[in-house]
Amino acid sequence: MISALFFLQFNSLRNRLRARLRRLKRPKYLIGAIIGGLYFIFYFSFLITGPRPGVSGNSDGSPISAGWGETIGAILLFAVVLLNWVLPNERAALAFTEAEIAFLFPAPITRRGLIHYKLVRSQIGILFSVIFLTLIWGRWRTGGHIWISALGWWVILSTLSLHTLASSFARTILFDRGITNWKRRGIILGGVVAILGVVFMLGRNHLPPWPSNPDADPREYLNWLDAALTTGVIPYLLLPFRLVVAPYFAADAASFIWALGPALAIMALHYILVIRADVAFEEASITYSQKLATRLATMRERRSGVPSAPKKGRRAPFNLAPTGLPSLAFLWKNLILAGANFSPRFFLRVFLLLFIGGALVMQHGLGDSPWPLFVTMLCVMFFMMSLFIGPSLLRVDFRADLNVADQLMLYPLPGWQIVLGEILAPVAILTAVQWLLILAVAMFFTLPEVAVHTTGDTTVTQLSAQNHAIPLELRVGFALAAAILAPAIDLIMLIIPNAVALLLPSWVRFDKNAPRGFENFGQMIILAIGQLLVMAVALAPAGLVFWVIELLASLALDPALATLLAALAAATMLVVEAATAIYILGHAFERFDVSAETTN
Amino acid sequence: MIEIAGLTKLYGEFVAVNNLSFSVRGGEVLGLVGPNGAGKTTTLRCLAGIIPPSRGSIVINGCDLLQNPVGAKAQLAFFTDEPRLFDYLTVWQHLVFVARIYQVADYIPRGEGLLAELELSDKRDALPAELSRGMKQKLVIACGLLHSPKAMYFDEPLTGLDPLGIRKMKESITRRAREGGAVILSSHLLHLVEEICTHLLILKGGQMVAYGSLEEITRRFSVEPGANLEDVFFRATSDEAAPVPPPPSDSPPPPPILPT
Repeated sequence: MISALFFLQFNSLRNRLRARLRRLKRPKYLIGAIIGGLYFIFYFSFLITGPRPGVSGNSDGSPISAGWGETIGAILLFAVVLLNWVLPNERAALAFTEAEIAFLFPAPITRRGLIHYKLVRSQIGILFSVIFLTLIWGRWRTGGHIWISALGWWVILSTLSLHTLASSFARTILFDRGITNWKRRGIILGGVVAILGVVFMLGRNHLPPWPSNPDADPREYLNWLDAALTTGVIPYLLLPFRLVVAPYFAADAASFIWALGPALAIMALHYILVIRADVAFEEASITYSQKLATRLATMRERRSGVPSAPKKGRRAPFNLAPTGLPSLAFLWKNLILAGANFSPRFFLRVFLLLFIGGALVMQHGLGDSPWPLFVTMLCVMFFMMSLFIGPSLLRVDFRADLNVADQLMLYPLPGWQIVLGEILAPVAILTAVQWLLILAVAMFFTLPEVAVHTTGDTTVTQLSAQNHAIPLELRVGFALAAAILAPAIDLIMLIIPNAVALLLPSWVRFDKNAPRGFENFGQMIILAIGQLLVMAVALAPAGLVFWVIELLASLALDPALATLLAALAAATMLVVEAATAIYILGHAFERFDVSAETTN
Repeated sequence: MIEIAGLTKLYGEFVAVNNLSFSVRGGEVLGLVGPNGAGKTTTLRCLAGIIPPSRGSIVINGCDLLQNPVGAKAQLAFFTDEPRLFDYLTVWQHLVFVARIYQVADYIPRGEGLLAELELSDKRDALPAELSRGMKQKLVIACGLLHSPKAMYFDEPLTGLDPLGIRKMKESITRRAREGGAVILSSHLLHLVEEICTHLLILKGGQMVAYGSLEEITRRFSVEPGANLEDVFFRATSDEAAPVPPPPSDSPPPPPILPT
């Protein structure tokens, strides 16, 4: 039976690896894998050859005792174990995939067989964690051996894994005997507090004095803690945990082998307890696996940036007439997807709030209060973020509809109408947010007065907002210029990720069949760099137009008008670019082969 | 109504559909059958304009799907085996959205009529997640029929329906054909095909192995009188059966047989 389970594990791994290797025949995955692989090679090369880590056990010249790292490790392990007993509130449940449950649970396999399978499977995750932690922690770089670090981590993680399983079995047994979660937590925490109290009472006379000087060297406090943890009965209480972490902290091969025996004995004890426990975990495991699958799906959904499906129907943002530009149907649909947070009613409320607040500030002023300046800075920051990060986060566009691309292909619309329609909702939402921010800046912005006070040798610079408001016509001019430019820039910024979704759909997928690993990571790096380049190329001509017109117009017009004129010209340039891009992408959409593009 | 000539779909070197030529006139229901992997769904997806064919022409009610996709798509509806809905739009919002896409000015009376016919009126404000599979299927049908398509493709239309839903679906398909629509129905359920189809196209490995009226095909592949479609299907798709050469382009399509 066990051999069948090993067969399943081995073949699952092998087939997954084969599928990935086979995928590398396609250039888009091969390039991604090369870039991703190079990134990891450079990253781990830096870890291996880079500066030494701060935590370095006993070899960093610290005057603290040689067992310091071991003691801290034991305390951390104790904390994790304690949390394992206190936090969980459910019956024992082993995490199986839904396929494993379907095949293994009805099969003639004993509970012990299932536990063995689970233990073997957990070893794969543990081995990856061991490699990662060994490289990240880098203790071996401070004089130890890499194999000692790796085996040390393996002992710690494997014992912890077994202990987690054993504690979940114990929890189930306690449940069956009528001991509720809170009763169990009370007993455990009460017991720990009582033991610590007794330990403190017994050991307080043996403790060195607490450093009395408040400016004492931090090492004096560490020395005190070291003494507290290594005298009296505490070392004996920490002994089991210390034994588990001891192999990791072994300085050489001989001390490692010496430390390994007791650690393996503790691990074996856990193994025996787990194997001999006759605890029914099947039902809870099924529930747990379903929860796990739901959680994974939610995580993928969140990662994709597409809002989750609502629990009940949402109000439409506006009445959609049956005739007119069909693209507006996509705007309407995607605004419903975006949800209540971005409804016109919400924006109207914020607008009114801002307008009334701003009018009051403009009329009465806030004296030398720093608030207007603070609000302005905050709004400018959010404005910039909305321009450059907003399009990546707000995915209520083609990226949300990739999974229904075949449905979109059915619609009797030219491609450009679908592309335009898909992009409209995020453009509308971002523009509304940006216009509110522009309004806030226009109403609250004041030029700070800089006051310098000198007291003896100290010079203090203070900012004040009083009486330095910018003239209204300048504010209105600049605000209108920003308001004209914002939607045009949004349009360009949203076309870029949507073009990626259309031209390289498998690179932006987040469903369960989406590629993972090196190739996906490399693809993400390439996409990020590519999007930056395209953005620079797309925005540069408009920037040039803006600069030239501003320069020429300012010779004849006042600054506000000159800026407004330059913004109009730059926005026109951006809209022309966007229209061309939408037209080209529309053609690409009409030739989009769903079957070829969305398969790995 | 639906005229297909030399339809071929290649995936790299793999031939999914090879040189299919057939036609479906108004009032006809063409059953598209074949073993798994025969190319039925690929054929339907090509006919619906979801995937581009590698070769061949598809004409829907006089509009070439490749030359004038917008005009051709405006006259067809494709009902997939798995209902594809927007999980954030309610039943009625789906109809509003589709009405704008297809420019259906009188969508309100049409939509209400369809919801009543499909017994979805009381689910008007429900989201797809609140609907059973059968109800989702009905909503897809309501959306597809809102613009009164001339050509309709059904891919495994009975999947997930209860007995009452199956009966209503069969009635709905035959009614659309009686009203002059051209219907292509792909299914593994041979009794369904036998019951409501007037014509049959049997595919195997992307090749057409039989095409004609139900009676013609039954006659051609029957070895004894009274053979049913299942016997015909197994004979037609057995390894001995030779593929049918495509009919010459000037040959008249088989006459329509309206269901009685």
